[in-house]
Amino acid sequence: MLVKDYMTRHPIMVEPGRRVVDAQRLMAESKVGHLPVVADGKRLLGMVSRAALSLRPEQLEGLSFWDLTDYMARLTVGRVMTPLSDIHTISPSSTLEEAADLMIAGHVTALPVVEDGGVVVGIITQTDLLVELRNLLGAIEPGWRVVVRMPDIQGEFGKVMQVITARGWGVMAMGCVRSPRRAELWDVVLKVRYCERDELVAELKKIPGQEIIDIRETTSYTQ
Amino acid sequence: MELPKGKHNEPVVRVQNLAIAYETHGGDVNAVRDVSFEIHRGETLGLVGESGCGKSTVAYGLVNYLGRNGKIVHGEIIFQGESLVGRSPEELRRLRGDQIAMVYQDPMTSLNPVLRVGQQMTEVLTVHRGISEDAARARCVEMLHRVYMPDPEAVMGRYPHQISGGQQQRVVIAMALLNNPALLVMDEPTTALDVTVEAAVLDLIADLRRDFDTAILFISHNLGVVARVSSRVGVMYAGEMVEQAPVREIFAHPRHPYTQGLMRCVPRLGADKAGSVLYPIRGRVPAPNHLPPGCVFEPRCDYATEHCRQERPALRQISNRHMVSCLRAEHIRASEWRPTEDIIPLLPAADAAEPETILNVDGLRTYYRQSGGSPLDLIGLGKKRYVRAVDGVSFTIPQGKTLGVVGESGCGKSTLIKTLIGLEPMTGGEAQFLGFDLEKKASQRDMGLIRELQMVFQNPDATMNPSYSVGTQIERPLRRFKVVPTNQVHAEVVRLLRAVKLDEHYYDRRPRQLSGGEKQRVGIARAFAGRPDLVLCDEPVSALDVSVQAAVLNLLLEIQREQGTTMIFIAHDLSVVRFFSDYVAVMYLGQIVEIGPAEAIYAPPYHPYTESLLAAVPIPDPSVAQQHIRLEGSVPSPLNPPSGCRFHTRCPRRQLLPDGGAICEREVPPMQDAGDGHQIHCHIPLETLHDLEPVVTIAA
Amino acid sequence: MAVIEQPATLTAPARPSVWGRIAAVLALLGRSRVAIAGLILVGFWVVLAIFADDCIIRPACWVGGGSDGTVVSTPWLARYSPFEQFRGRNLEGPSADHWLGTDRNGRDLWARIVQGSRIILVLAPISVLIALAIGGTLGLIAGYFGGQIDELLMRVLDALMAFPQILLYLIIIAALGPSAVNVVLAITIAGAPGIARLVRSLTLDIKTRDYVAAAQTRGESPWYIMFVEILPNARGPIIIDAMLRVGYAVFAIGTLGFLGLGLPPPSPDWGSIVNTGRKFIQAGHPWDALWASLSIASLVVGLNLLADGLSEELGRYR
Repeated sequence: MLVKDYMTRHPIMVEPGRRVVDAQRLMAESKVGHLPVVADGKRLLGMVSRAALSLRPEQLEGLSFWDLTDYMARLTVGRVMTPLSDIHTISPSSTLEEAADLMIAGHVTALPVVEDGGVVVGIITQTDLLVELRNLLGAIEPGWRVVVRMPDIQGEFGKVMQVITARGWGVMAMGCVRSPRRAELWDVVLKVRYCERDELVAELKKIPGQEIIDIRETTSYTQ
Repeated sequence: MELPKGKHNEPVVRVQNLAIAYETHGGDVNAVRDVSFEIHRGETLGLVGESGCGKSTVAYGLVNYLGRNGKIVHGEIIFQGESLVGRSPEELRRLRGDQIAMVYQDPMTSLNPVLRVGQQMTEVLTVHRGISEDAARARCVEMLHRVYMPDPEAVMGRYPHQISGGQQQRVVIAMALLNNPALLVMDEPTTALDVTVEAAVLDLIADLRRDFDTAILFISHNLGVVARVSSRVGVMYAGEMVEQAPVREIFAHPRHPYTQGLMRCVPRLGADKAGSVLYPIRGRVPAPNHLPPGCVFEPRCDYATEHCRQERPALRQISNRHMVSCLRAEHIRASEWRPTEDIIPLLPAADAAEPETILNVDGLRTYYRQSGGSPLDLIGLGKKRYVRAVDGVSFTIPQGKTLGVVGESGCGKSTLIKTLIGLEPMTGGEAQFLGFDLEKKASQRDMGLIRELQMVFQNPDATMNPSYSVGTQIERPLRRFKVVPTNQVHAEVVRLLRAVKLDEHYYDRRPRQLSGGEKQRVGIARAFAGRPDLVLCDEPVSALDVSVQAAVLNLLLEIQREQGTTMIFIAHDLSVVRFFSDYVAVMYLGQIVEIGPAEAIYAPPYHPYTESLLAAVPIPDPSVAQQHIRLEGSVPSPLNPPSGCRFHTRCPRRQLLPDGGAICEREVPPMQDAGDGHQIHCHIPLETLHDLEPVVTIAA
Repeated sequence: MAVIEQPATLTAPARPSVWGRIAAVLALLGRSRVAIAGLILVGFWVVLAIFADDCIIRPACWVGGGSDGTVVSTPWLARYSPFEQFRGRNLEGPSADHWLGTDRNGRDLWARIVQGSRIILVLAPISVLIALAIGGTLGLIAGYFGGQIDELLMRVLDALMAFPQILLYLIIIAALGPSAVNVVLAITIAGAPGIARLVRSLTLDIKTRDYVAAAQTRGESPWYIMFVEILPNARGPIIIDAMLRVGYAVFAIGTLGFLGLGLPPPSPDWGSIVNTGRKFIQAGHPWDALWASLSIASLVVGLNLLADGLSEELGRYR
């Protein structure tokens, strides 16, 4: 659950001297949204995203057609990139939560992963985090997805697990979160396999103070 | 189970219709034509094929190291989304440093002999990345740990020549990985290594691919090696990619006739000459400037039709991820293949009569004087030290049988046969051959003895004198041993040439006009010219391509059966030894640790050393389960071998004995007889050894 | 550099004739411009030496002609006898009659230079050949047998090599007196150790090849192995080295002549022509010294270029 396990290693990178048009083509052809800009030795200088590469009208104000062509031909990645001072980086041994937090705080959708004081080893994007969320909730294999709401008391979670393991069923994914808008309760999502719906519901209902919010069968998802 | 990745995964490198030519005096030679492949993150593409098929050219083309006379004619190499063709040398140099790394067959080509290992490794980080000296050092030590280098701190302080070949190669791999390259190109990285070291390096490569997500292009002529490390395999022939498929698929269902042919050339581990036959591919790889007009493989193909002669097939998809360039791929089945007459070896039935012992070796020792570096040595007063190359070896061979000798390099197997043939002086012990004593050196031996004892050498390029024609060189032993009257010498040479499947045109050829396999055949003809009783073969096939290897092995078998010759056969390939030999001796540090009938050696009870050798053999079949036993460290110096059992420093089975095998350090292991002439020198009781799991399990 | 493996051609080759092999060597030389330049220079002198007079068809004149003034041979390319003194025409510059001028005694310089080339082109190769035979054999023995024999031989040869060559020449000629035979002897003794070193190192390399081991396992004698199995495979570097040595020998013969230790007068030795001409340079007659020095220089340069070109071409196709 660390950045190094979920990042994309060996990301496509670009040098600051490349023309913006080349970088745009590179992004389109290789279907990526962000390019780390690196110097010799893969040292990070900045980032460019598709948005950063698209020109705003005011930049082009007052340019004639010929000037425009010239301007485009000279415009390099180094001049439009977000410089190192303005971007967040993350180390491969950080947690995914840290990555998510940085992305939320910085309003960005990707973070360059660096080590040794600035050498790019990978890139982690929102998609990587979403993949992780999906896998965390067990969306890749079939089973019963049940949401149980329980009070914030020590030992409540143990009761659920006891019931399930006592029957020899398996929990293949789970997640706990404070209930939306009701901070005193917890919602626990469980993905249970090797069981029947009715049996599962019957067993969970036996636990006092807990409530089944939702239960549904999920099938496997393809990518 | 592999978790699905969410994102669309673009390949790290994509090669499209790549064609590479070399400029020569006679015009451009197309070494590689229309090769396409792609490698994704964390994937290994293995390239196999005989020598001269353009495998290395593809690798060098990828990084544009083609030399002055090489050029990319057309095609694209897209690396990380951008084309590498036509980029400036400066850009390519930077890419190579940062994102592409190469590992060559000879590690010394990548190491600077005058710098310490540590200095070379840290330089990668400090110069390029501006990392501090101390931090870089720590990273290097960590990386050396990662490649299973024993005692990395000490290795950092040594010069490249002070560490073994396997360790050098690990240093090179560690250096390549320090940069965390996106693409790693490996050109025969384990070919020069011993089988045990090779196994460790291959394990390492598989680990690294997983942990670093590196895309690897792995080139090897050895099908077993490729089967072990690759996730996909591409087969190259005469500069073209003829088949490409996932590794299990290609070994289970090869579709191209060439791939099928290659697989028939190599003996399976456990196959022997009584129960199986090797089928070489007839003909040879065409020269790049003399290609057939149609399919490049058509002249050697058993399935070729008129259509194949006219149309050059393109690589096409025949099933999910399986591509082949054969017009008839759907119609040919490997299982229904029948050999054509010209490649079936003519093997007369072996003589069933109980043979007599022809060679009896008892306690043979060969020591070399080693002079030390002290000033006393200069004037001959230094302490005399001896390399115990062969130290007390005993065995017998019955007439007409073959004894295979295996072991890591430096175990003394070559010295053993050089001593027997009289190239090295015998230090002690006895060897009786046909009533002759083999004590004297060759120059002092009786002509009758010399004639009966001949040798086939390893290196095809050195086995023939480049100054004389083939005929002259075969004539010499005929004249010298007076095998036939002088006026019949020419006829006899022609007969010998025919016997080794060369026609009489070869009489006037010069060695440089011959291919490796042909030179080796002439070497065999020369050795057998005097109709010797005992022929010593020192790795006669290890420098040859697999299809040539099969042909040469068949040839040796034929001549042996015909003349009733006895042989000692050295090879490092355990499958070949098993196939070729009746008896096998396993040597370690100058001693035989296990000897017996071939089938007994390859099944429990094993000596622990034999067991580790078998576990290391690369098997050209990914479905075969092989136990994971790896030897630590390298062979100790034969200058002062370990006490007690010489294998105790590396033995993986010592803990089977009480006190963790304390007895192994103290006492020389006893000889245990497992019956039928099968002897094991080990302290571990036979019953325990017998109960060990077989190393190789062949799936039903 | 990447190399493509070229399978041998499949056509049946005929046994290569002597002329075929010479043609092959010339073709090899033809690829190198350096070698062609050398070949032209050396060839110029060889042609002059051969066709200087009619001695090729009248072998009698090799033995006695000229020394007593009676010229048996008829000059061809040389135009005059080297000993004929033209009265009143001493110390002249180049003219139509005397292409290069005349010397103090009125002898034609062209004739003397051309006849001198004959001496030098006989003596230099002969001395190198003898040095090659002796040094080569010693080198083979030292390299092949190794051990004590090697130590002993090489220490003796090292001792010889420790002397500066010119000193060695002076000692030998001073002790034995100037004559053609002694010049050859001096050059042989001075040259053999170097050749022995070269051949020894080549032998050390070649004797580890499998075909030598194969010969040993046939019980061949050491002499057979040395001269039949090893020597032919060392010929490339030896030939190149010998060519350079012929150049040095030309130089050495010139030096000895200049010092008055070469062939006794009146033989037209280039070195002695320079020596006698030296006195007249300041008198406004540099021609003797100039032509003879140029001759020595051009021949030495030619031989060196030839050796360079050859080694370059051989190295490329190794």
